[in-house]
Amino acid sequence: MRSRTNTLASIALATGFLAAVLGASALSAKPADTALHRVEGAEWKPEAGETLFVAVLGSDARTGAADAKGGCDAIHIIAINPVSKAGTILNFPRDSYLPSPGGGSRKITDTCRTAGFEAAVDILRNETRIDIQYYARTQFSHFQSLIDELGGVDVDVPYSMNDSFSGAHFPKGSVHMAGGQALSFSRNRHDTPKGDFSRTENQGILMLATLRKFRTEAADWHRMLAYIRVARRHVNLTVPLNDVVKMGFLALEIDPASIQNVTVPGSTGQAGDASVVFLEPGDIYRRVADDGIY
Amino acid sequence: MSLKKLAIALVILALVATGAYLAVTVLQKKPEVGLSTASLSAGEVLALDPLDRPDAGQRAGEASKQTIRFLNRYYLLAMLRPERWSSANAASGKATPPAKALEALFTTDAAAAVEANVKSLALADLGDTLDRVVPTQQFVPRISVQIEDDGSVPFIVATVEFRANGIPKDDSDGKRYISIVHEATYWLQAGVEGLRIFAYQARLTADELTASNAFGVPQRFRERSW
Repeated sequence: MRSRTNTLASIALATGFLAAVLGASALSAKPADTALHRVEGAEWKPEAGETLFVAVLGSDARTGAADAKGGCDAIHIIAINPVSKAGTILNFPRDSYLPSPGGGSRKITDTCRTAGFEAAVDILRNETRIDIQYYARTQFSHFQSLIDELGGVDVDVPYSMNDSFSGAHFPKGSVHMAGGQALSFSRNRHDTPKGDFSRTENQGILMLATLRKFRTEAADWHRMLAYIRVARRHVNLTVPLNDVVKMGFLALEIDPASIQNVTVPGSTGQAGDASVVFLEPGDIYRRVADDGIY
Repeated sequence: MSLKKLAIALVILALVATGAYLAVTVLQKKPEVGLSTASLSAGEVLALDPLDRPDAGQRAGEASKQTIRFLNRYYLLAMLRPERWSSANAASGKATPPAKALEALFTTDAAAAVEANVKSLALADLGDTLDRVVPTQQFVPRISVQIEDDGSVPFIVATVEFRANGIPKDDSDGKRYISIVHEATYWLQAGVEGLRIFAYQARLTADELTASNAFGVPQRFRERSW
């Protein structure tokens, strides 16, 4: 029973966590813009204790589909180990200079803009050697309504913020954020210690906050069903609904404290006229690819 | 007193005595010995329609009726037929073992855990102790119905509060009944064969004995004792 429970847990974790993450990815109108897909040809076997890997790409496009003239402003790989009930959120700066589909290299945000989100996922898979099975694409403009519909989220703000560009004005500490505030928090890069590195790290903080909320509220299964309703309103789920539910159960088993929020280190530089980030991952990719735990 | 009045008085006295006797007899009459029926009733029914359509309530209502019918099947077998769980019945080999019959109400994954968790799912250990079970409360306070865009209902969550008096076969210790309480939340999946239990949290108490188990839920919510 334990192995079967772990199976359910694994699947449940992925979906529930994804639902939480997608909460951080948003929606007002129904999908196409915001969706959860399985990578073609990929397979995840939770019954075998396989780690779940999900790429989350968020666009700041103001209108239209997430990848319509919008780059990737949020780039993450979520790794969840169903056996150890732990995992990692791997965060990438949007200006990460990575190989491009047509040859050469470019910022990954530009790859999203010109070649699409799926191409960006392929690049992440190739670069990190992480066997990503699912990817979620989202649009920031949908962010607010989903968070609002969930009743807001409590976020541990790591340092005080006062940024007029993003509208992020928060004291350090726990802050209950409505959708607009959560969006500002995730957009802020001007009033942060490390610019875009900090911004992507804060997006990871937001994901964990959403998971924490889900874990607390969805312990009541009637409430979990309500969460699924919200997800169905806002996310185009192309994965089997059964898996979504099972993942939700597993998400209840994951203590957010057991998930490490890791931003891939790097240095800023120039590539032609573009300001880019040269990633210096060290052994991060290998460690996460191995069992999902950094 | 004239003889006539005396006769009238005696008749009245006889009638009063007969009435009193009948009243006492009725009050002392043992409960009718028959098979108890499962008749759960629903409280709140919540329609969870992503599209918030006007007919969502109606769809949820239909789903709740189906849920009640399913739960009646479950509780009839699990709680109201103790004889099926007796060792004599098991030895006879005439009928499907009750645990196996119960498994048919679960999805494949969940069914695999029924035997291990049967003490919290049914009166498995009281089959030899109980003569019959008389329900005193059969209530489903809340049913949540998920509705898809095409109007179908893939999942239903139902919370059940079931109480009953288990009448022991042997009441030589003076104990008239065993108090039975079963509290459970079921996650039901709709399929071609109807509803099946996909996951559950269940606690069964019979007097001072308690068993609780869960399937598909976090370890921190599980406990065992019996």
